[in-house]
Amino acid sequence: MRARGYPCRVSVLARNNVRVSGDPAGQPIVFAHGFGCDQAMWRYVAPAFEEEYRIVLFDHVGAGGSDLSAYDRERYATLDGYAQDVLEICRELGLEDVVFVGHSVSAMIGVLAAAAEPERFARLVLVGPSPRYVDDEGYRGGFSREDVEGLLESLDSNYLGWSQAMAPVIMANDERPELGEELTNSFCRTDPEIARHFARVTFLSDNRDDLRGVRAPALVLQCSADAIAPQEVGEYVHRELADSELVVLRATGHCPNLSAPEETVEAIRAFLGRDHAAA
Amino acid sequence: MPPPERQGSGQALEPLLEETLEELYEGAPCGYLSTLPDGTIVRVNETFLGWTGHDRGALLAGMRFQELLAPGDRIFHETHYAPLLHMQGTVREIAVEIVRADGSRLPVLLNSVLRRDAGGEPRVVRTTVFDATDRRRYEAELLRARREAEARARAATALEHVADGVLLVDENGRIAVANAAAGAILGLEGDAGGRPVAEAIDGWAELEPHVPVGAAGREPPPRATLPFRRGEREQWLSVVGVDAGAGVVYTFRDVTADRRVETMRDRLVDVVSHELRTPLAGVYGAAQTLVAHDLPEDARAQLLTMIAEQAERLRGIVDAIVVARRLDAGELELADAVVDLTALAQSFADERVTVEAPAPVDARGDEGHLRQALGSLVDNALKYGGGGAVRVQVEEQGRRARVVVADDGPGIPPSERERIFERFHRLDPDLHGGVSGVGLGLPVARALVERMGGRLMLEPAGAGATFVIELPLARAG
Repeated sequence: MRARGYPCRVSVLARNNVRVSGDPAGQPIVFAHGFGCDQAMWRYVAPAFEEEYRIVLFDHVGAGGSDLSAYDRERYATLDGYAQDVLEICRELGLEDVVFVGHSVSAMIGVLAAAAEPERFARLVLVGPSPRYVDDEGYRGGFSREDVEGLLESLDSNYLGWSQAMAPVIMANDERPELGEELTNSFCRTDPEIARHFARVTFLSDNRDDLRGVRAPALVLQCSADAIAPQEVGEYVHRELADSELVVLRATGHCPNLSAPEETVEAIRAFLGRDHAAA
Repeated sequence: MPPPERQGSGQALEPLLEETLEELYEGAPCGYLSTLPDGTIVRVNETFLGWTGHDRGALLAGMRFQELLAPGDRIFHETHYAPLLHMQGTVREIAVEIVRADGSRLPVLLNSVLRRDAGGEPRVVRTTVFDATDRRRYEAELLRARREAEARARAATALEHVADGVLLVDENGRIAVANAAAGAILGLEGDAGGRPVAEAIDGWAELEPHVPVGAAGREPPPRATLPFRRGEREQWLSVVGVDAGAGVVYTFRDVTADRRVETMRDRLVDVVSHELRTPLAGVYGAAQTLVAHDLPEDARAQLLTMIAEQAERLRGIVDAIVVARRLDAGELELADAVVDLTALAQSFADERVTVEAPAPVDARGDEGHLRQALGSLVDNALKYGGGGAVRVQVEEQGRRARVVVADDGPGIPPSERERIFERFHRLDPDLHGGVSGVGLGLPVARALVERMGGRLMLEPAGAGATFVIELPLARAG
């Protein structure tokens, strides 16, 4: 029987390329990136919290600077494997009273983690969450199964096509992808096969029932005209969570943390401030 | 210095330049799109409209670029393209499909630049759209080829590690594929690929004509078990071939060990059927005669003696088989005691056996089984020694004790020197005065002596046959 956990304690931090900054004595705030990207996508948001909070950034296994050899198709066959990683990071760093900020699929990963260890999480911030992307009876997620297949083809074309096949050769000597902006798409590089699997797991998952397991107060940050998580999905999440607040941003698209970082920071700040006052 | 035609025509130049730029923008061999940061299309060129069949008015009425993408690509746009554009300010060669007005899809490559205003706020995105129809087809081929190549590589790995030997010989008689097991079984050295099979594999020419070869797609013929000689080694191979069209695929298994067991079993059956039946027939015949006829006392005594002798011979054969079996199973317990070899040897002395033992020699071993081993040697010498005298000599040599048993018979032919120690192997009765035996005496004697930490050898020189038992001296160590 194969051990499911990661063998060594220190390795959890290496496995997920965990970066800690900010005030060591502050309340911990964990930022989790969504599908298709890595922790770099918090670059305009996380620094705004450095004064007050202990910032924890990480990459999901398979993304960014994570340890690709730790990828295990069985462990990551559902979002629970990713939620376990979040809990292992929290345990490793001894994080309590955690504010978890999850974008896109990581919003649901946070929901699973908070449902598993409710005492560890103080607040959840869910940016563009969707508990189910594929339409179901009486539920509109916005996509069909064929659409998800289309995404996999799109990943093939982009990751395995000519340009991306050449990119690693160009980047081979570059240990620091942040220096490679002039080159081809150098951020958010992912292993193509892992990306495919993660896409399938993400976009075919159904975590609607898990929303009710969350006790911590949650903020649902909904963008205007989000092609991935439509407003009615955000409203659904808000309705199903025991204690939540829905804020619809002026920002459009699916990545307000990149396209409208200031508005995003303000909304999170307001939510945390208000909760602190209430507590 | 400016070109001459521009002199004095400054007024006319500006509209001309504008017209050229306009023409270049609208008629460029690629699509141009300008969008707001949220994707709202604000400008688009003729090329793009021509390729996609969309109406300029409809696109500029608040349509967002991502709405022109197939749903799967829309997800990719939001999860990859948009984040990259915001972080890098530019993205290159994003592969998506644009849905045309008629619903068909146009594979394109997108290059985009995000322009920010003086305050750093995103202002506009400029996108170049390339028709990637041919290229995408090629890439799809490439991807398919790559996945096929990976599948082949996995198959090759599996083949390499198959426990059976696999050998592909092409129609020119050259080795196309030989896996690791084939190399080990057939004695191939290094990379045999491309070498003529008859040259690379010693013994192939003798083997190949006997290998059954079936046709591809049919049930393969039964495997043949064939002897395979390379150099001094003789192996038995279970082998079958399949004609794959571009050559023959052979699969091998080395069954030498299985074959040895089978041979042994066959020999056992021979021995039982022959060697046991003769004394049994004697016992039966004598007993029948005793029952049916009222014989005189001396004739009765003669028959009873014969029955006893034949029964003793039978017991000896059965004992030898039992001891051999118990040796194999590791069930035979041997004592490790001091044995007086001189006394032991002298117990064999009679009118045909002379024993020379100058001084008492103590060795370590199991007396009962040592007596059995020495008995076998003396019996053999009496049987095969041509009727002459048998000499048994006990001596010390260094730290070892030796018992030498020699006869004056015809000796052991060189070809038989090792085989006489194989079980159920017997010397040709025609060459040895019709004497036959079970073929267990020597192999069991050797196994027993070896279990006691000694050796049993056939001395190379001298007339007749000279066997030596060597044992550790009791006082040594």
